[in-house]
Amino acid sequence: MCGIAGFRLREGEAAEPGALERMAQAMRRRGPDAQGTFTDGPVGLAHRRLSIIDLTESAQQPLFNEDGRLAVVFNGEVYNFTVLREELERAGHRFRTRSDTEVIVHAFEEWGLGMLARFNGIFAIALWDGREGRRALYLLRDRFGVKPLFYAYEEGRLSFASELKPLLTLPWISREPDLESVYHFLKFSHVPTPRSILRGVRQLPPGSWLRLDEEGLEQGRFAPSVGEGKPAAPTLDNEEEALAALDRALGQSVRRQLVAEVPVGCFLSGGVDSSLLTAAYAEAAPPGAARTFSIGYREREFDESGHARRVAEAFGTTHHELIVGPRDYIDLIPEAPDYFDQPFADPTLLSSLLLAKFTRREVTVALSGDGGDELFFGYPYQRALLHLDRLRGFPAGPRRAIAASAGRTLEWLGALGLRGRRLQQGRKLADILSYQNEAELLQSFIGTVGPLPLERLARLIAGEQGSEAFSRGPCHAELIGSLRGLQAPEKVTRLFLETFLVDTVLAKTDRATMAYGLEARVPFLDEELVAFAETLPFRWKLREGTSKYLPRRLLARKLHERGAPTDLAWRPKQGFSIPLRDWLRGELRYLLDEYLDPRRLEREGIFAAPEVRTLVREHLQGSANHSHLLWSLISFRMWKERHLP
Amino acid sequence: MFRILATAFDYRPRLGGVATLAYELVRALGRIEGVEVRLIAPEGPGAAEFDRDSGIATSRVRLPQAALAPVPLSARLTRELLSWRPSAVLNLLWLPEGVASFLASPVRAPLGIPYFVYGHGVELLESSATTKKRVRAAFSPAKKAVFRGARQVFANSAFTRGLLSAHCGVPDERIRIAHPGVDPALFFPEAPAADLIARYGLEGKRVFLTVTRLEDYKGVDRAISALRWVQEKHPEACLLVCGEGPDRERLESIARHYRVRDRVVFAGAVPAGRLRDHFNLADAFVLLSRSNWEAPHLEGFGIVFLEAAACGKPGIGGDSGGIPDAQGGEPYGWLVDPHDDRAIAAAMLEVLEHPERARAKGEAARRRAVEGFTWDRMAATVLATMKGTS
Repeated sequence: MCGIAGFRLREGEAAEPGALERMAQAMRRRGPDAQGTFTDGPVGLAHRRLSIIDLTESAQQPLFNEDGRLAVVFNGEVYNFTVLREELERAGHRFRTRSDTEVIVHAFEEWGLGMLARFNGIFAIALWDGREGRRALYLLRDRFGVKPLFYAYEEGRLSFASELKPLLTLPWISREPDLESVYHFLKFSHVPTPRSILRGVRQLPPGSWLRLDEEGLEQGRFAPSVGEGKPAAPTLDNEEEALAALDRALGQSVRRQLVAEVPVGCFLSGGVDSSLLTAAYAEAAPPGAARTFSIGYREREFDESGHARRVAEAFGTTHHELIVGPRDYIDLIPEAPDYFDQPFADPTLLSSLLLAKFTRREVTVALSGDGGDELFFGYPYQRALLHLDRLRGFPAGPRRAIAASAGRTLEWLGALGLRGRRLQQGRKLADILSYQNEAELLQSFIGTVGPLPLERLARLIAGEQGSEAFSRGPCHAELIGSLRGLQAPEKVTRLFLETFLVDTVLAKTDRATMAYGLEARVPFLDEELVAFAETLPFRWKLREGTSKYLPRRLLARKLHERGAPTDLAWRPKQGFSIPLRDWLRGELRYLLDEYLDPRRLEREGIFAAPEVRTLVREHLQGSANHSHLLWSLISFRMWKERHLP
Repeated sequence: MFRILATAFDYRPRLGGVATLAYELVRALGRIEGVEVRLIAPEGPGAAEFDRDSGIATSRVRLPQAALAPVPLSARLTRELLSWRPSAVLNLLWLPEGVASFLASPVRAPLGIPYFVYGHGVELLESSATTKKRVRAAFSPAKKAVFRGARQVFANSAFTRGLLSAHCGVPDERIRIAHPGVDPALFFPEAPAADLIARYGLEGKRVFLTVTRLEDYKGVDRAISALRWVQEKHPEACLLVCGEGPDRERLESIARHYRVRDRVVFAGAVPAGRLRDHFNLADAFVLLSRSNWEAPHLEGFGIVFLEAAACGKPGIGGDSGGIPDAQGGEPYGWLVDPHDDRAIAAAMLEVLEHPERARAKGEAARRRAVEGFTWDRMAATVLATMKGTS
């Protein structure tokens, strides 16, 4: 959809329009249709627009209130803007455009930050309140972190942008990688919010606001965490009622999110979430208008495109399918750092990029099933964590001793030449089970990297820095602290919602779609649907080993109503992963030479060349599968070369 | 008459630096008045045709792999020693030729015929990287004996002299540097060949040329990587890669990865007769070999720098192995850290942005090559050493 950027300099300094232009240019992919800037003394706002609602020039941003003293730049959608607008008009506000953006300034005038509790949407907002006696710059980010927002506050200057790239155009932003973030990145495959990969830059946490006024910088949270203090609703005990409520909530969400003045479509992988979303979308769209998009893989092992086709057929969508092979991925690798301006090492981003590019040929907005797995317990890892949670009563000493000796035995077997996936999974499990405390256990499940003993991970950072970063304690300390005392299912749900969803799932979808000027919308993260999921009894999420039970039931019913076979609803989750392990030993081996060459690593001084060399050797010999970690190292170096040459 | 019996295991019609050196040196020695040369070389496809036209008295011997080759070679050598009574034996490699000379000692020594060995670089090091190399490593004591028994040892560069002294136990005073040379009648400046410009699509392009066997230590990967920085400013820059080898596929992947595949031309192996034409397409010659002591892989000299120089091309060389001797240093081009893409790119940019500077360096390189590095000059050095007059 759009990109926002800007800054508030120190009093007496004047915002320079040229600097704003440069920031806007650096994120022009996010908004190919128009550019706007605004300055007021030390304050500058910049916007790149992808037009979705009110395509006229009058809706170009920044937009203002009646007297022009409130200015806003906005990336996202407020889906319930028409309702809010009516309310605001009744209160005497005058609107000049049909855009949802304008609602924000009037809502702020009327309700202040209280407006956020009324918004149902996805957004990153910068709002300048230039009224006498206020003069405050606000940064706001939606509850789930669907839209990104980076900021830096140094020497009294607050700078912000939807991505890192615009910030890097500012001379006062430090270009130094934050080694602790690098360490976490190696652990999780993403840089965890609120950190960024740069020392002086942060990401605004989801559901938060930040204000800089005469009194200084203040940060707060406007939305509670999911499930915080909400008991299960007894009305949903009945399966039929629960099904009806899910159907209703999803239908309403999709209808709200179909509002656009440009063509809309839906990503369809053939999995449960996207299939159910497709069903709701096909019901809500005008007859014959629903369009679905999927990607198929020449490698049968990962290919779900046949399932996607069957779903599309069942719900009568016009289906578009892109079939890709290894070459398509490999050719895309060098481009990825252009779009992912923080290092990001989930290799499925390549699929997301290919699908986004393909989809953008036909539509400007695409619905995506993101969030369904987190809300309805869809990941096998969530279940694994649930099982491991039962071990809490087991004494730590014996557990670690058993894990350590199992790990050593498996290592010997590896050294003796025994290979295979089971052996590697066994080593992974042994690594997980050797956790020192619960924080370590929980962290093993964040992100896509298979765990590696933390000591070894820390040693990858060169010199003294590694152990220093390691000793700083766990990432997400605050979150993990807040999970203490919760029931295991809630704990696992919140862990995934506040880490993996924000920093891997949503970041990937945002960057991949923005790379091609496509707006992704995520109906599962609609306020009302989330409220439903929060109060849904857990047994409707995981029932007798079946994950996402209720969504599956609803999908099966909808398939049945259409006369289609219902087996599609009960298939196990078929995760897609790029066969990196083998590629790094074959087609992509040159990346190890190019990016992990010890001489060049030594010159850069961030990673310990001998440790990296050992990882490469073990991987190439087949005695271990370090593909995720090697991929993270390569991704980091590609990112650095591109953005911090 | 001074009679030289030369032995060359790596010899034409095979291509490559050692074979070229053997052929040109033997030929140049034969041109010297008062010198008669005979050569023993291995049999192989195309050998008979080559020998007919070479004007060199060559006898071919069927040789097995290098490890066993000294035996038949020393038998042939012994026969020649007895029948022809040469003044000296010149071995162009220590294995198998030097070992053969050593094995022939019971005949050679009583006849008072000394032998000389030429050192090129990488063959002087031991390695356990492959089975073949482990077999070679088993010859290490033989290697030292060969060098101990040689009257004098030749090195192609100051770098190789260091290897001879460190790895073969040859004292400095018994090492003579005899730089390889170039034939100015074969390599000289000329207008670019129109057919090649068309074949490679070089119209309006600025060309960096490399001529090498495609192996991972030759630094073609770094030239490709540097090209991405260069092409940001100079989309007309391209890299013409002449040669074949096992690294080709990887290099193509790297070119695609850095999004310069359309600016890298893989010309494949170039026939000897068209090598000059290829040099004359270039704005500068590039060879960025790096030393890999584990493999081991290194550049002992780099004759190809002299060939490019004779065509008036400045050289961008990796500062490793014997390349500083071959390339000559700053007046004749650029010596850069072969691991440093940015430094390589900076040299390439200087060629593009200061063509007059590049031309001046190319001209200086040409003078240096044709005046100081001919095969005749090398032959004179070698002969003087063999005669004991240097």
